[in-house]
Amino acid sequence: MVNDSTAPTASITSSWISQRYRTIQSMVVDYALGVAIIALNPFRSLLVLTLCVAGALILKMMWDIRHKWHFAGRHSVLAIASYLFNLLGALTMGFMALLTLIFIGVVFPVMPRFGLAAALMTLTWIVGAVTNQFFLNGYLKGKSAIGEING
Amino acid sequence: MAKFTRRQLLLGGLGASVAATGIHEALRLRAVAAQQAKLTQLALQSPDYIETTVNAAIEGDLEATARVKEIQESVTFTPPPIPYEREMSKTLIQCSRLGTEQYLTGKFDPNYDGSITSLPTYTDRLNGFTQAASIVGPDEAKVKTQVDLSAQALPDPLQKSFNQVQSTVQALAGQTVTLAWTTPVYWGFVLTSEQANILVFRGTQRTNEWLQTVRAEQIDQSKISGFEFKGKVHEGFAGIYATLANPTIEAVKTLDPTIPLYVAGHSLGSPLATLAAMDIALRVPAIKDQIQLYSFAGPRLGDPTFVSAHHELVPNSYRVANLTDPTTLVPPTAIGDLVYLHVGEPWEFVTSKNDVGPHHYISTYRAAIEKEVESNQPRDFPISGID
Repeated sequence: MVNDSTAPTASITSSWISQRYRTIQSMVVDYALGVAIIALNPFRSLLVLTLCVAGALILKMMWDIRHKWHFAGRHSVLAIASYLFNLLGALTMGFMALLTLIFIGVVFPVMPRFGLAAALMTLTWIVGAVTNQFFLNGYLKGKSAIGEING
Repeated sequence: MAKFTRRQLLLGGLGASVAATGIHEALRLRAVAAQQAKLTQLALQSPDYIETTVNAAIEGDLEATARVKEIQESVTFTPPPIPYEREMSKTLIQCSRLGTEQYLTGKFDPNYDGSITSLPTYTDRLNGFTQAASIVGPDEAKVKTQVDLSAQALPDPLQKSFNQVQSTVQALAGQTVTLAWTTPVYWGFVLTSEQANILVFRGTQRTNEWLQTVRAEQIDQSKISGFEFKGKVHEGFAGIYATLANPTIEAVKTLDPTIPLYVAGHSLGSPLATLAAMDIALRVPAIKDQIQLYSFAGPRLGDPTFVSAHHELVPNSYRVANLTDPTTLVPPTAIGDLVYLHVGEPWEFVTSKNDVGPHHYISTYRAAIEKEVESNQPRDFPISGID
């Protein structure tokens, strides 16, 4: 878990930012693993519920990431547009993961059963990564504007 | 007790889930395979099943052919009260060609007013007719022509290729010099004389018209407005005619209802003419008994209910078809739940030009009709088949 109390108050060091980035990325991986476990539930008739839970976890993860970056909100329109495209890309990659496992199922029939887990894990991982990047940029922009970052 | 990190717990959970899911899925697939093998064994031990399956496989095409025949015979066809008129058929196929030329001239000549007298294939045969109207669609066509200002003989092949790549990139970037203009979309025209009126629709010319022709779902009156028909018809053709129905009806209302009204079209013009004939019969009853439909190279258009209603409303309908023209064979009589039939008394001929296009072009139909080779009688040439 990220300990917010470690954030320097007077000035921000680049090593602290780097550490925070890696810590959040680690949290994203945990979320992705958790979502994959949920997607592997044995109840085939609960797809909608599974997707809802996974969606809620992804939203929770995005909120947590934003919280870890202290709700940094200095973003240009270009950055916001890029972020939205990244989210679309994450959806696409999740879908591609599903298709990949379905294709692999031609040779290994068991594999399609893991398709949903792979898709949601990929989606969560990429959404987390791009969200982390997005708020890091906002954080840096905000801090550099007031000269708080030290080497 | 050993302490685990969150990551270790998650990885352990994921590993356990993957293992459990994999084993469960493998067992399920194994059970399905065993059940399939068991059912296959049971089926192969049943002489009745084997006989039925083999017969179905062998006689499948015969059954499909029998179904087509049954569908075709389900519609009672009465020969038209008025005989097929060869001279008028020659005039109408010429008019179909003029319809195409009218569209193409309108596409490139911004001053063109739709008059057919200036078109290349206009002949004295149409003397005595005056053009009462042009059928113009509601949309405008956007025409673009790319102008290559650097077009010149280039001795250097590498430079030539370089220029081509540059032109392609510039075209993609919208940087090329283009001429662009909008034109009205002509769909046909109405001719009038003291003896007869003629309404003609042209065939497919634009890309979106091609796309419409493949929309072979059927729709009934409740799914489309703008014109009237009975039964179910091809969605794409109906969609096109719906945009032309009002100008068509308005033009027909100005015609003398005491003389024959010939409605015709080639290719896409055929279903449009067929729909127009029924629409006119339903919406302009005064002229209903004067309608004679001549369709050339037309695909199938509607279901048996539509065809029966059409034969009743427009009994004087003739369908001229080249037996080697694939357009006249689509959509198939039966596609799943959809059933398609032709409208009109068939007048057929045969050409052998060894390609799809030449079997369908207006020039082929025009040549055959000018030579009066189309016939509604059984032919003498050798035919082999299951019938």
